[in-house]
Amino acid sequence: MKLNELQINELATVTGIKTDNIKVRRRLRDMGIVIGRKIKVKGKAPMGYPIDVYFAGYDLTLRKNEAECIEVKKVEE
Amino acid sequence: MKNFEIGITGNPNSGKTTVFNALTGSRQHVGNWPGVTVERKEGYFSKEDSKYTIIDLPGIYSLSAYSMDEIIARDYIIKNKPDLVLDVLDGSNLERNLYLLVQILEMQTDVVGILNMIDIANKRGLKIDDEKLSNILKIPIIRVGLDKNKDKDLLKNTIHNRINENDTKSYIKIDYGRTINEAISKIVDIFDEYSYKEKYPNRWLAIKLLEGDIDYLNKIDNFERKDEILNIINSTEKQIEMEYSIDLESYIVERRYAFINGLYKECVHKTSSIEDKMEITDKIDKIVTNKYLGIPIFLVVMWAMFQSVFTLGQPLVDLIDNFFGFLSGGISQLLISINSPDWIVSFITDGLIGGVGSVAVFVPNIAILYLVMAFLQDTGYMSRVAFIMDKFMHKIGLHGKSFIPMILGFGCNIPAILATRTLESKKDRILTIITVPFVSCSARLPVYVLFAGAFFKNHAGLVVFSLYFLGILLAIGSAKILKTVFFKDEEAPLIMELPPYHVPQWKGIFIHTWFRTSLFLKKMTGVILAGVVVIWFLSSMPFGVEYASAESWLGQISEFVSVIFKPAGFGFWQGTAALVFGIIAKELVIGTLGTTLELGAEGSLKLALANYFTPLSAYAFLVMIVTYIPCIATIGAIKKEAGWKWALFSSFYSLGLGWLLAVLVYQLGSLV
Repeated sequence: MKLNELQINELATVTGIKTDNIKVRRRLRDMGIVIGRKIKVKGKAPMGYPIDVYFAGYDLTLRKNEAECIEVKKVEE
Repeated sequence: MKNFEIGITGNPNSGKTTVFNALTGSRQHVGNWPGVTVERKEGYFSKEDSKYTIIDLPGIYSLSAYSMDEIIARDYIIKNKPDLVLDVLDGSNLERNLYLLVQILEMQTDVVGILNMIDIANKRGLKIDDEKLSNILKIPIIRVGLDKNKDKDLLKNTIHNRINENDTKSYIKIDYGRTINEAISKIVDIFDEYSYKEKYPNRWLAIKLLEGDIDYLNKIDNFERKDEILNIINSTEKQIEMEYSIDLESYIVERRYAFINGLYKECVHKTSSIEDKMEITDKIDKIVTNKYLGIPIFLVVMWAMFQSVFTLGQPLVDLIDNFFGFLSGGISQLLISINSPDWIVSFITDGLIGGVGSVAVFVPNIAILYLVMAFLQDTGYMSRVAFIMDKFMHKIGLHGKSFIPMILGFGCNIPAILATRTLESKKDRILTIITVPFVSCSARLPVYVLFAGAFFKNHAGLVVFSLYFLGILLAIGSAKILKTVFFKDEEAPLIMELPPYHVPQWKGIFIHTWFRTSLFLKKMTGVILAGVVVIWFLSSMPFGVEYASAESWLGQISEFVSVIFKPAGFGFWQGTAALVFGIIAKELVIGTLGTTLELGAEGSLKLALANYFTPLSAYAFLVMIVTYIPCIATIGAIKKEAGWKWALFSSFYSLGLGWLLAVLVYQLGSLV
């Protein structure tokens, strides 16, 4: 599933980044969104997007189209 | 005296500025990096027989060539070859911070790691084994932030000792996996064989080439064995895609992170599991970015900011204004008493003092603006502004952070344009800068009120509102159009850190405000003075004419140019002259009309206007006032932030658009 389909506070693992935009792909990886990373959606902006995702000890904002690039798998708790 | 140069870098929000201030105190100098409007700070300190110059590099997350900041930092390290690089590391966020550190080390540059924010790390139950980190990376790692007085000496001693150490330094090599390791050594071998020497280490160059870095691919263009290297890259790319179904560039980043992950696990221990405990930042964000409260709170903050910049600054503005009025009055009396010719009196009072005064009156507002912006930035709220407003602003082609300049524009366009500094991408910055002048500043309001009162008595409010609304529409429309014309394929993503809230560092904020304000004065005075003097000259020539009269060059030029405003209904020279003076400052439009129009027996400008304008041509004139050339000070600000090219573009674009709209209003109105 895609990162933006996660419910708030659901924990997931990153399985891949799918986008043709090299800049976005590189930026996401530089910021630490790499395969195997544990990630969760922590909050949303008042208008629904961007979203606030939490991983590796910090918060990152993503617009809808950026969140859609990130493939994740839910972690069963 | 021996001279050394040290670059200081680190992730944004890692406390880099605090370290820079601790090292240099007030011995700082602020400027721009050549060719770009990214701030460059420089300072120095001395120890024993050595002088250390510290260059503050932009706060960055990585050294890929995708943002201006990253390119600046990278080029600096490669070209200037600093004797040492200080990397400030946020201890509460070490993994991502190590990513940058490792990239700098891969450039085979000597680094001292400065571990900051350890108290926050401790609160999160993280214990950092800095000795181990230092041993693995083979660089000194020091801790700061716990005792400010000790920090200074520790930083200076560490730098001094490291630079004067005689050991040969060795650098880490990341294991990129067999396929890539082999490709790297093959490429390095080719370089070595031909003793191909660039300014940078061959291994690093090989990695960059494999990462597909355009900058470096271009650099080897003339290398005779370029094709061989490209073949290696191609086959490596294919192999990685086959083995891991991932592109080569991404794979390299993944491997680098894998190395860092291992490093992190070795050196950071979790003493307690408090992952889910809500931190203060989370609690604040629950309210500040709340679905229902987020926007109202944001609007209150904007209102408070607007009030402090314009209302709080007003008494000081008046004071400065009065001072210059007093000065100009006194000096003109003095000059007259010693029988100076009229043109000298006029040049010194109207031209020089008036010109300097017109810059000086902005200082209180600008200083408060810088203070407030630094405060919002330092506390962490600025990122929330972008977060809250992004969806709306993105729809109209701008960025979440563009909202602040837009709001400030209603007060004065100059602080608004200076506030675009917070936008990281050049595209967002330029688009915001060009569209801000359409937002009606407070100096335009008196003109609106005068005309609305004179021609639309019963609908004055509606007319003024329509002008403000038109300005907003023009800003939005221009953003959309200019985006497709100039920045078609440049979509800047909103992949932005939301830093934890901080108690602001007042000392740093004041230093920042001081430097920014003095820089503003230095940069703006020339442009504004030049503009004011040119217009003074045109109004006073030829010798002996009454200032700004029909016989003056300004009057003659206005008469000539006014023809083009005939289709807009105000093709008389006084209208054009008023527009020209409006370029100095919009409030001068009224003054110019007052002195150039034939006032009737009552001496009322309001009544006199009716002899020259019809309600329709008055409205067309107002539309022109909303749209046409920003004032000289705003042009100066645009030049300062975006360069001459954009300043000229903004002037001509708005002039053309203003004329077009005024003509449209008059012609369509005449049909009705």
